[in-house]
Amino acid sequence: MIPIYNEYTVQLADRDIINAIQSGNKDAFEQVFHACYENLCQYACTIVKDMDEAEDIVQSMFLKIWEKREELTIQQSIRSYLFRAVYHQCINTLEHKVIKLKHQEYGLQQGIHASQQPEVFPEELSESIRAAIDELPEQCRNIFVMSRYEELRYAEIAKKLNISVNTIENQISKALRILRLKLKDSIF
Amino acid sequence: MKRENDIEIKDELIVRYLAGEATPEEAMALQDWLVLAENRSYYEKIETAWNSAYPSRTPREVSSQRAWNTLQARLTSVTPMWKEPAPRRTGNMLFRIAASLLITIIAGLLLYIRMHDDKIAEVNVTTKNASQRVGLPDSSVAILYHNSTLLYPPSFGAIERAVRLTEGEAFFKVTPNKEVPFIIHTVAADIRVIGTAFNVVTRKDGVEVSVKEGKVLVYTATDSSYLEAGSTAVIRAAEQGIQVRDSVNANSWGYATRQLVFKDQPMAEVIMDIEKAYPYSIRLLNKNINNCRLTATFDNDSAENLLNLIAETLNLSVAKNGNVFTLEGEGCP
Repeated sequence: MIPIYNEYTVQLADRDIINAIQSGNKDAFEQVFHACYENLCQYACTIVKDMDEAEDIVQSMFLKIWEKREELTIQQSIRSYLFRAVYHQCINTLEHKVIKLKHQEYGLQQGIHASQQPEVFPEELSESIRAAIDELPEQCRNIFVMSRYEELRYAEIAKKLNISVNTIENQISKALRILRLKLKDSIF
Repeated sequence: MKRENDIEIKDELIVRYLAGEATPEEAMALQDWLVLAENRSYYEKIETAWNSAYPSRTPREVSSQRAWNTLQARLTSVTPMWKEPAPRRTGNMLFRIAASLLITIIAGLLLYIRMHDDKIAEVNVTTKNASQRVGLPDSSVAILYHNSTLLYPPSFGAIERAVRLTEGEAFFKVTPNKEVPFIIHTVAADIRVIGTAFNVVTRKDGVEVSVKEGKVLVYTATDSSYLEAGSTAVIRAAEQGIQVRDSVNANSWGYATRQLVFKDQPMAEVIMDIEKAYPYSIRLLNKNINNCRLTATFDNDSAENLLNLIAETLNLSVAKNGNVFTLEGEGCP
């Protein structure tokens, strides 16, 4: 196995860093921040689909850690701790959004008829990409649209279509393989 | 620090990560894996496809330095939260300048080449087993299909632009010029246009003209007919008159445009169209593949890509050997 060194691995050992942060060493805190911030934001953004929100989540978490540094108890590596914390915060945010959305939808249905089907594709999408997605095999297309445009979680799609998460993964991978081939010969 | 877990990185995991479904452990494993440049370039191909389906959702870059500056104020003091606006990308502007410079240079170069291009003698282009693109003196283009012959003068006169298609098939894209009509002479009929795109097939017993864009006048010694875009004229030497129908098979000139459109088309027809458009033949290991129907649009795809896409769509596998593609798989009932 090839050892992988990234910014983070060449820094101080975890235990020392945690101790340093607990005793209020801001340099140690900053070091962890710089080593993990960007990767955490990228991960958070995949879940909440918005970088502003992702940055908010990650920054709030760091802020909270600093405020409560004296009570900080980390069993695993610091990096694992941060990723898990961000993950839970993202899932929380999503759940709040779902509740909010349900309220909005309810309000909307009171007003107008909910009969008009919303356009699944965002307006910006080029004709060639629309066509490529439209031409995906049916199940593959449905699943891809639910994940990419309706931004449903795998679990929600699985429940709606009564299929396994495994199938969803295969079909989305397939959709991307087809899109990739489509893009290969066009100039971007 | 060692890696958290030895999680195998497969396409499914990459997709799971992009879709926001990766667990923290998977995300860390993936990010570690991305440290190697070759892994990253593989990942970026999938990421590009994912983002292309929703360009405005492409995550912007983040800077830990900028974030730290923001955060620091909140760590030490109780100053109200504020946020810096996202940085404007200047790279794009630079790229545009470079691109416009490049275009200028290329245009200049082309002009230079043109001015120094010496006149050549009478031109006769004959194709054998491959299509060929022929640039005509007025910058019109003829794409000759296999076993075809086109004759044209080294320069056109002021009255007409005349060429002769003596055998085979060609697709013409004619540069508009109202004053100087473009005329194609064939054995059975002549075709007169101002500026348009159309396909001409000459056979032993006649000529077939199909119009892609614009208008075309087809005439024989005894008859003439105006063809609109999307219609086909058939002229048979043995018969009088010109028969016109309101349809074209756009895939038949795929050899010239590299555009193929299939709408629920049986595979047997798909294969015929592809084999005409590309210099490859296609072999099926299972005749049930012929039962499949395909809906797809191809625009300037390479043959490899096109076959891969069809295979992916119909759950087949594809192998290439010389200029033969072999499709294998269950096919359709």
